[in-house]
Amino acid sequence: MINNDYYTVWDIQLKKSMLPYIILTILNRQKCYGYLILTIIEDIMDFELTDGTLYPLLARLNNEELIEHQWVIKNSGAPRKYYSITEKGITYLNKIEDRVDYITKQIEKLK
Amino acid sequence: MKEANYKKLPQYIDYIKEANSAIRQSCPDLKKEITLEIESHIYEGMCSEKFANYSEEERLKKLLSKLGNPNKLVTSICLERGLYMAIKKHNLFKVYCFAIKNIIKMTRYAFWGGLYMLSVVFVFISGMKLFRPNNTGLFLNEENHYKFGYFSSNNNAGIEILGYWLIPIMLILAIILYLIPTLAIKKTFTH
Repeated sequence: MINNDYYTVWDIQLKKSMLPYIILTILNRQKCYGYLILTIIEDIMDFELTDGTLYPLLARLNNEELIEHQWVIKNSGAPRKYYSITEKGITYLNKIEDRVDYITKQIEKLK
Repeated sequence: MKEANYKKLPQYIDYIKEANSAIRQSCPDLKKEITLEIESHIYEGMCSEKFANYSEEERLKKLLSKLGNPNKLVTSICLERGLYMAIKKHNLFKVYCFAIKNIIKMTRYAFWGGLYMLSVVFVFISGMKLFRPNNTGLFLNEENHYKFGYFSSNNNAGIEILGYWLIPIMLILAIILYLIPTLAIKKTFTH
């Protein structure tokens, strides 16, 4: 019998592993700053991100050259660090999409 | 947005202070960039309509709690950036430092495993106390040395001190030794 704790842990692990895919998908549509990415993920995906999960992940994706950033100074308020997807990131995103599609289809066959 | 207002709140000052202190320790060369990004995140959150119904103080409190522990946040970012820069610049010393940090992380799991094993040993000892009471317990021998556990022969073991109190003590210790790693592992995987 699968208990609730097991489901919770599985759900958290799934969300963590899907986050790079989600971030790249968001950035493939538009340039975003950290807070906006967080808001989109929470509002649309119904994810609760805690303990600064987002920024270390953005740093990792940046290191891997899948995304890049640019500081934009505004007329008022704090400057924004805009992230955008790179060519390498788009290629990587396409690969992930294919893989997710494949796994989903294979699971459908199992049903 | 009167940004100066929330910047004067003690939660904000403490958060930035703690973040800066973590940056100084982990990656001082990235201080400006990380601090600016945290400040920018807080500013955007304070301007957001999402928290419009809350007071400035409540808004800040919610934002900071969602952003998480500043030390943990900064350390994770620095770890990502630092290791990448070290590998890119072929800085072997830094790569070794990161490797050691990760070994320490692994040691933590080994330590938890040790606690689990110890809890099993304690349950075993309490069981043996029931079946072999004279051979199991905490013994004090003639040379004032303590011996603890199960002994196949009790000739030189000495006088047993705890008697049947050994069983509840062992079971309580076993529960504690089971709970500590269980809660720690649970915390690790759910955050």
